[in-house]
Formats: sequence, C-alpha cells, structure tokens
Amino acid sequence: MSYVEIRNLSKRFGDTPVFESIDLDVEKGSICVLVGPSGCGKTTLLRAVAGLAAPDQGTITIDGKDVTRLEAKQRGIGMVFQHYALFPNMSVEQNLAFGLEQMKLPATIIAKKVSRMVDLMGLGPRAKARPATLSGGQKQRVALARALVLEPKLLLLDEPLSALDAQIRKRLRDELKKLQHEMGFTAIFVTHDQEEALLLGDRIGVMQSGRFAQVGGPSEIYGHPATMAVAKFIGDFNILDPVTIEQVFNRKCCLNWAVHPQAIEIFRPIPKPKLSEGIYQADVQITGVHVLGCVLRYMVQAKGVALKIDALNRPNMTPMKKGDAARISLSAADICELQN
Amino acid sequence: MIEIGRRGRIIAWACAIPFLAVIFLFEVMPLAAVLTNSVFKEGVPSVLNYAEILGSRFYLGAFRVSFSISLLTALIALVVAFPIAIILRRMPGRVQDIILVFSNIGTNFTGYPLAFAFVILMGVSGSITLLLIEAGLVKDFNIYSTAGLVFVYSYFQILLGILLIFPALGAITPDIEEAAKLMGASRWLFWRRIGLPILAPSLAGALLLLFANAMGTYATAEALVGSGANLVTIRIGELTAGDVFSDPNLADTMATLLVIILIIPIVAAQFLLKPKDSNA
Amino acid sequence: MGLVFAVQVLPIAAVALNGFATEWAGSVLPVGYTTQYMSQLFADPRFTQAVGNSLLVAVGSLVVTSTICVPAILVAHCYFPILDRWMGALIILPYAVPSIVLALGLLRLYSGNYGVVLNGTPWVLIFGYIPLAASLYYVPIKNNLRAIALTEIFEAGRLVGASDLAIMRRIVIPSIMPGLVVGLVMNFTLAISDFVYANLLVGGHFPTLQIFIGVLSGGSGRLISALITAYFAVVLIATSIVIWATSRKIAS
Repeated sequence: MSYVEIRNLSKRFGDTPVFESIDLDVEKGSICVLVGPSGCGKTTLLRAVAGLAAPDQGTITIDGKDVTRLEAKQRGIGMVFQHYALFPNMSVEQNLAFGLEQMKLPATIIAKKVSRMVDLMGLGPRAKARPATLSGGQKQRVALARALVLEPKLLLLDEPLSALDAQIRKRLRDELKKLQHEMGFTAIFVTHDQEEALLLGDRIGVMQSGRFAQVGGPSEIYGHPATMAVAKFIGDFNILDPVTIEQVFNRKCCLNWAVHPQAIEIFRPIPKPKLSEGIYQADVQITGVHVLGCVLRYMVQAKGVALKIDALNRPNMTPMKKGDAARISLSAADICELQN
Repeated sequence: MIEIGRRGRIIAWACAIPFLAVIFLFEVMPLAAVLTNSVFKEGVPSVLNYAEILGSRFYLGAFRVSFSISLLTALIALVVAFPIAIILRRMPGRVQDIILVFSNIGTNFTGYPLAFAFVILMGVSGSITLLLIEAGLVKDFNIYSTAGLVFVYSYFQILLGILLIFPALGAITPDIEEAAKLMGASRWLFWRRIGLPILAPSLAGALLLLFANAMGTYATAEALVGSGANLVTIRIGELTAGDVFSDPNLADTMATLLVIILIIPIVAAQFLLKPKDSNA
Repeated sequence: MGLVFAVQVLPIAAVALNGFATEWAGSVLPVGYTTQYMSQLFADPRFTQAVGNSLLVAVGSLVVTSTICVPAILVAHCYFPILDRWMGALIILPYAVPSIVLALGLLRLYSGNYGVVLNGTPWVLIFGYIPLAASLYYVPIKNNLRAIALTEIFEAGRLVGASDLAIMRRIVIPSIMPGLVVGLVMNFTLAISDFVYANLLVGGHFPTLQIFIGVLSGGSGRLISALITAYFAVVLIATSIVIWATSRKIAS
C-alpha cells in the first residue's frame, strides 16, 4: 500500500469533466510531478488532494487514512502556491509562526521551530521583513518554509516556480531537490514545464484533458513516450507518420515514430554507404545550423521532410554548413513507436 | 469568492443581517413612506398631489430652476475638474492622497458655513466684490441670487468632480500615452482620439452624479437664499417645515418626483457603465 | 494647480480672518485682529452644548456605523458575491436619493405615527446616517481587499490549520486598516457637517453645531465666523488623522 493513494477520482464543472478516473500512487519520501498543458486538470487535481476542491467521486488516502471528506485544515497538508499567498501584514517570522500558533504550541517551541526553519531556508537576514519587500525567489522560499515548518504529511506545490525568472527558477529548483533529499518529505508538484518535471520527479504523471496519458519515472517518460501527446509535450522529438517514414527511410510501418534529435547521427556523405540490419539511412540537405551551447542543432530536409538533429558540439570540430549535403543514420532501437 | 461550510455560512450571514436591517429601516422604509404619502390627500388615495404640482407654474418653475442650476454647475465642475484631475495624476502619490482627502472634506463643506464664507468674500461688501469693483470689472454683485447659487455650488461641485474623475483616469496608463507619442500623436491628438473616447463613459457618469448632487442640495441653498430661491429642495423643505405653506403630502410628492428624475438616469448609467470588478 | 488650491482654501481663510477681525467692512482685508469673538463664543453655554451634541452624534455614528457596516462589507466580499454587488450599488445611493428626501421619510416614520419615536433624539441621526456613510467605508475598504490575494490567503490560512475567524482577525482586518481609518474620518466629517437631517429631524430638541450656526446666522457676523472657524478646526484635526494614517500606510 502506497503512502498516498488516489483511486478513481473524478470531478466535473457542470458538464465539462475536469479530471476523470484518476489513479495515482505516491511513495513516502518521493516527489511525484503532475505535468501537462494548461487546462489539463492538474491544478484542480492538486486542489482536490488539498481539500480546496471537492471531488465528485473517488477516494484520497494519505498514510492509510481516508481524507476524502476531511476539511483542508484537518488533512495535515502543506501547500505552496504559484503566487506565494503570503500573509501581507505579517513579517517572514510571523508568517511561519501563524500555523504553529493555530496548533496552540507553547511560544518557546514556536520560536525555536521558526528560527530553525528560517536558518535552513537562508532567510535569516530577512526574518523581520514584510512580504512586500521581498524578491520573488525570497517570497517563494518563505512560502515553502511556511508549509514545511508544520511538518506536513504531504507537501503540495502548485506551479511554485512559474512566476519566477529563469535564473531564480533554476536555483530554487535545485534547492528544492536538495531540501527534499535532506528532509525526506513527500510531495506532489504541479508544473507545465517538462524540464522541471523531469528534473524533480521521482515519478511523473503526464496529464492530457483530465486523464493520465502516461505515468512513469523520468527516464521512462523521456525515453519512451507512450503517446503522441506525451511525445509532443515532453520532448523536442521528430515525429514522423507512416507516410513520411516510407518516403524518407523507405520502410513500411503502421505506427507513428518519435525520434530524439540526438538519436540521429549526421555525417558527411560517403560514396558507398554500407547498410546493415536495423540501421536506417537517408540523404539530407542542411537548411540551418544553430549553436545551443554544448549541442549543435542541424535543421535538415530529407525528401521534403524537415528533421532536427543534435550533435555534440566538440571544441575542435568543424561543423557542417548550411546548404551542405549530408547523410543521416538512425538505429531502430532508438525509435519510439507511439500508440495512436 | 471563498467556499464556506454550512455553519460558517450561517455565521457569515448573521454578520450581514444588522446592516441589511438598518438599510431596510432607514433607507427602504423612509423611501416607501414618502412614496406612499405622495399618493394620499387628506387621508384618501389620490393622484391630486401630482396633478397639483404638474399643473402649477410655480412648482414646475422650481424643477426648471433646479435643473438649470444643476446642469450648469455640473458642466462647470466637469470642465474645471478634468484638467485638475489629470495634473493630479502626475503628482507623487502622497500629494495625491492629501489633495483627495482635502477635496473630500471640501465636498462636505456645505450649508451655513459655506454660504457664510461666500457672503464674506462675495457679498455686498465682500473682499472679492470690492476687488472686482475697484478693478472696474463689475458694478455690483448680488450673491443672494441664482448667479450667486451657481458660484457657491461650483465650489463643492468642482471638488466632487475631482473626486469622481480621478479614479477613472487610471484607465489611461502611461504606456498607452507613450505608445501614442511614439506613433507621433500630439498631446491634443492623443486626448481627442484616444483619451477622451476611453474616458467618455466615466465622464458621462461623473456628469450625471454631479447633476444629481446639485439637484439634491438643500442646506447650502437654504442657508444662502432661503425660501427666496425657487428650487425643488427649498420647496420641499418649505412644504414640510414651513408655517404657512405646510403640506406634507405635497412635499412627499415633490420628493418622489425628484427621486424619479434622479434615479432613472443613474440606474441607466449603472447598467451602461458597469464597473470592471470581475476579479473580486 | 496652485491657483485652484488657493480658490479651495480661500473661503475657509476668509471665515477664519473674519472671526478674528476687529472691523472688516468696505476693505479687502480686516482693519485689526482680536480674539474677543472667539472667547465670547467659548463662554456661550449654547456653544459648548452644541459641540457636545455634535461630538456625541459624530462619535456615536462612527462606532455604530463601523460596527454594522464593516462586518457586512467583509463577509459580502469574501463569501457572498451577490450581496457584494448589491452593496456596490450603495455607492451611488446618496446621489440618487438626496438626503432631504430620506429625511422626509424618516420624519414620517419615526415621529410616533407607527409607535416608534426616534425623532428629536440623537438616535435618529446616528442610525439615519448609516445608509449615507456606508459607501464611505465600502469604497476604501474594497480597495484594500482587492489589493490582497484573498482567495489564496484563505486557502493558505486554512491549510496551516487556521479557522476563518482567525484568518479574518489576524490577516484580513489588519489589511483593511488604512481603508477603515479613511472611512472613519469621512464618516466623522459627514456626521459633523450634516444640516439637513439635524434640522428636520431633531432641530431645537438636540441642537448640533450646524443647527447652532443656523441659529446664530441672523446675528453677529464676527461671532458666527468665530463659530465656523472653530467648527472647521475640528474637521481639520480629523483630516490630519487621515493623512497621518495614509502616510503610515505608504511608509510600511
């Protein structure tokens, strides 16, 4: 039995289902990421777990206890909101202490817990500051500290990094991962950012129109997307339909392919290509070369079909140029066949 | 809106009930009483009160004078207050706050104190009258007249105009103005083609409220001119408290007509100019 | 801008000058100054009584109106959007229904014809001002409420185990304090400047400052100027409170 168990959970607004027949397991001490485009129902699902939205059917069990009908404040859940939701009239310390005060703890214990959490989150210098004077990253750190100081059974994070700028987002993301390793809390993290999902998630549920399109570990989701929707959402895949496949690689098949750009090899054309079993090759024309840091991205045309190919950007290499003719090769093992 | 349980809902309603009760007892009921009284004459239901007012040149004259003064002072206030409000928008926030609070105090500076202040300044031997006579601009000026009323009304009307227009100017954000400037629009062109069309509904609403405010003014007119001024509110006061002309039912009829005149355009405007409050 | 401000202040300055003038007729400025009229005013028992009455009504109005209106504004904003929309309509009510019309209705209702006599007592003023003053609280408090992410704050508060009452008391009410202070001062000004209700509903039974100014208006111009100056000083003090409160809000 898992630490958090969601079974057959459904909710609709009027006639429109928000999510339907959701089953999800979260192991103790792990981060489960719900990822999907906006409007896929991930935030409402999170709010149902928090007790802020009532599901129409199904059950939510946390640590062996059915909490489906409990009020939010009785569930022992901590939550971090996208727009922080800090109490504007209270200092950082007071924000942290507020929940502990509701538990009627003695003042000395509250002060000790608050100061420990303030130190842990590196908020010491701003402990007496009001939220309005903090930067976005600091605010979200306070929000996280406010949730964690209560030692919740489950931490919910609703796009906590989406309102921050790119640099802060990366830093806070790494800090969150580190913090989770140290403290070992259990969390459900909602995001629309696939990179965030892959980096943070021990398990990832990709949601599509109120259902899970795929649930699995990050390497599984990234390496083997199950459906077209997952492939399109998660990665920068080359997606090829059967007609195109036949056109480019001269193979007959009935499913769509998803191919990672880095799974395709590109090289200068050789006069007599050697073909072997399970290797598909094609002649291409380079239409563009982009330097993406450690990766070189080639945009190519193969019989009128546009493909993208990533090669390692080695320091001493002379890259091919736009307009060059080239040859590509692809191993059958690197092809993900997509259902529907 | 925040979701709430059944018990919480009951407690929350209980917090609102005293307020609703007071509004009922001190707003709805008095209005109903006035309306009811207006259709009674000597204890019998009748439309004679309405017939009497609508058939009287004297009472209709009161409506006409009130209407003219109100419209005139509302227009004056709008024309004067609009540029002031625009300038005020450019001031630091603290100055804005202070001026707005003073304006609010000023709009309450009505009745005897205001009338008296104007008599000192613009009465027969008032300072400004004397200055103007010395400068040869006027021969004399009678503050106790319709023209005097226009002057005095304009004082609080302009202040109210600033208060009403100022919040609406928030719709003209600096980036709209800058975008227009970059496209080569002059200040004048900006206001004519962009600013005024954006603000037109708000300005119309402000004009209406200014008009209503002047129509309903009693204390200042009573203090300055007394029953000599033929204004709707003065007539109502006279019919209520006067010794000779007392006729409560007729007073209520005039009051009802006044409310009808004011409420129809105001309610219409509320429908036309819905405040943007979708995020509440 | 400065000119407009000067015009705003001019009538008030003129009254104040007149109140301290020895003689002021036929000249632009007074001939000399004296505090004679001010002291004469303070020696008049009718004045002290009027000040007492006015303060009683004004403070009573503050206490009663804020205790009745503020909880209603809060619950309407937080829980009952329909009620909130109705309350929003209150803003224009004083314009649509002039105070003399409401005063007429109150005169009819509470003079004993229906078994309730409020007229002639301060109560009719204290309660009668509520519909007029409600919008003075509603507008600034709503501005404060809109400035905070209320839904999220309630959710966050409930998730850390707080009751709605605790959230109201500890977070929402402190956040609306600036608006509440603005409302209180405006309410004070309204109550102390009212002539229409006071004249029609209580008159000589409970003379307020405005009534007393009306009574004096037939007599000495100097004395009434001194009186209006004193009245204005009170209003100015109330104004200073609001400026102080709003500037504190900006500083924090």
